[in-house]
Amino acid sequence: MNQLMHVSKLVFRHDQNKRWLKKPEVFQLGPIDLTVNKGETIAIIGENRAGKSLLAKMLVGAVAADEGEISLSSVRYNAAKRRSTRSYNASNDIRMIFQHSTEAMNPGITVGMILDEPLRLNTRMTEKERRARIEETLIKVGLLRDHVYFYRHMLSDGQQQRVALARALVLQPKILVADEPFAALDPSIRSQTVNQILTLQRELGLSFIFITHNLGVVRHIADKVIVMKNGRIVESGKTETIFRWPQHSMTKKLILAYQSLVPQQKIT
Amino acid sequence: MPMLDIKNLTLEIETAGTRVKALDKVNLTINSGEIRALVGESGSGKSLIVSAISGALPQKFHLTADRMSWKGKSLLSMPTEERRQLMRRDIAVVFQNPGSALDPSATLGEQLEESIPDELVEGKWFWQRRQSRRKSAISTVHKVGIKHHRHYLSAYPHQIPTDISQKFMLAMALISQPKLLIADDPTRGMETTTKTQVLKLLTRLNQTKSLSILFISHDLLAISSMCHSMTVLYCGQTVESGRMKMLRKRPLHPYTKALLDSAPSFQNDLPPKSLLPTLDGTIPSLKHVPIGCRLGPRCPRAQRDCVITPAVRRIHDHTYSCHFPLHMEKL
Ligand SMILES: Nc1ncnc2c1ncn2[C@@H]1O[C@H](COP(=O)(O)OP(=O)(O)OP(=O)(O)O)[C@@H](O)[C@H]1O
Ligand code: SF4
Ligand SMILES: [Mg+2]
Repeated sequence: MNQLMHVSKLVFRHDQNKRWLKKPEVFQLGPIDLTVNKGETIAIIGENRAGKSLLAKMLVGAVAADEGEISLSSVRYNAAKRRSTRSYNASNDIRMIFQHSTEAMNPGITVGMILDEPLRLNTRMTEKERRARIEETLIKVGLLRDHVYFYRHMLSDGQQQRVALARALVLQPKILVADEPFAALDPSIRSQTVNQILTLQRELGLSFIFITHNLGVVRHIADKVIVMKNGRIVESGKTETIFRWPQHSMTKKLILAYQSLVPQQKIT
Repeated sequence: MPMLDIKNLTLEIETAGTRVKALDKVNLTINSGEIRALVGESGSGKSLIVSAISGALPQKFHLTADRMSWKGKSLLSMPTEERRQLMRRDIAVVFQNPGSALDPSATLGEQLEESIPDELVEGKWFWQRRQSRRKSAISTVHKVGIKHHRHYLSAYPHQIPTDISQKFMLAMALISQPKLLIADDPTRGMETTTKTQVLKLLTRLNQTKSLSILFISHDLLAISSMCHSMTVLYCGQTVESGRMKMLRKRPLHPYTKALLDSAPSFQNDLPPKSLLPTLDGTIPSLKHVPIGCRLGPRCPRAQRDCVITPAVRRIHDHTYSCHFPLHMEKL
């Protein structure tokens, strides 16, 4: 398999002044080592406040790290030095869908404008090229060309989720990072989105890193699972192995909690 | 006799001069000691049912129902004060947005102590009563799994993280020792271990205190592990309702089937990374609801007759509304 991204010794330390809650211990994330291969799906699971969202943001460059190195598409970056996302990820190989992405969608502008913005800011495409790319992306995520004229209130939750997906895909990244992409979706939209991502992976060879509490979906689509606790990766491995033979107590706890909910005997 | 009994509840909303039926002849009953799940697509009207029961409906909503009663007493004709008392003592509601239901200007401790009904406070003198309030506030937040009570009870609503405020809302609801708990998506976004804690707590209260629960959620795994019965809502209509086991085994309505299929954990023989079975499209907006069966345009079994609204049919305690139900041969 070809390696797309490699993260080594990524560290983030919490700035104490920013916190209202002045607990004595300092929050530290990392050191994190991580490899992402082409077409691979990686799930990050763990407790609330384990630092999962923060890790995701560091991977896409939305938050700067304090130490460490990221190599992306065989270009190396010093994760600590960069101040903005400009230099890192300049080729837009990694993009993110943020948590609560549907609520974050600007109600005052059309879907077309939402998708145009990253293109205008990050590429030198002409208006015509951008337009073509937008339409192509909309169709890829299962929306219609006409949706460029739609505003947020005219779309259902599931469609808004697709717009968020389209927005992340419009720059044609190689890796997609998503923070809780399924939590706010109702069951039938959730399976539609899961199917969408599976199809995209087959067609484009996209790598997909996602954070979730939904272990059912993890088990179904992830190749690798990463378990986090208190800012550290405590266990990682193949999905099947993690579910069958969890080693760390945190992993055991999560898997057991999940299995206690899963119906044991098969229904006919 | 059911504790809460709702028959043909219809709720019309006036928007821009037109009236839309957000709830159309919804039926829902909750028996004493029962945990009932209410599921359905987002926007199908689950939260509206909660508001209708709690009586917190805005002016422009028009509510009609053949029956809407609590222990045989009609909620609709009940004097306002009596209904308020009922909502304060017997029925507790956890609304969907945890933060918004809290008063931003008071600490959590103050708000929690305030919601303890006077009857439950022990002691004659005010300091004894104050202590009693304090004690039951602390024990209730412990019960719902909030550990640092000293810290959180003196915090203001905006200072606490979402999962704590979700648990806190549960504490607010449980502190009055209600007979019925209505919980609207109480475990949304919670990680698995916290969620199982909450589910265990609810199950335990149901068994020891015979608390009835209306559990609203998108989490089918949680629902099937805990609930005794389930009501399925689609686009403002109840499409199927019955015992959990029956529904899991033989869903009669195509939407229920699609809903159950959407959870990968329910299918043992599903190959990894295979596409999940799902219905096309999305729930229609209220302004454009299809005539007849509202699932029509998305339904794989739809036929011509489906433009006529299917009537409610009943087999024992299992009700459904569909012209061409599944699994009929097996019955
Ligand atoms: N104040 C309102 N004015 C107009 N329409 C409303 C109002 N409140 C709710 N609705 C509509 O009623 C329908 C049902 O909404 P409701 O909030 O009950 O859905 P829900 O089933 O709780 O969804 P979710 O699973 O996302 O919580 C939606 O189509 C919504 O747009
Ligand atoms: S009545 Fe017709 S459209 Fe409606 S669920 Fe049944 S088969 Fe499908
Ligand atoms: Mg709701």
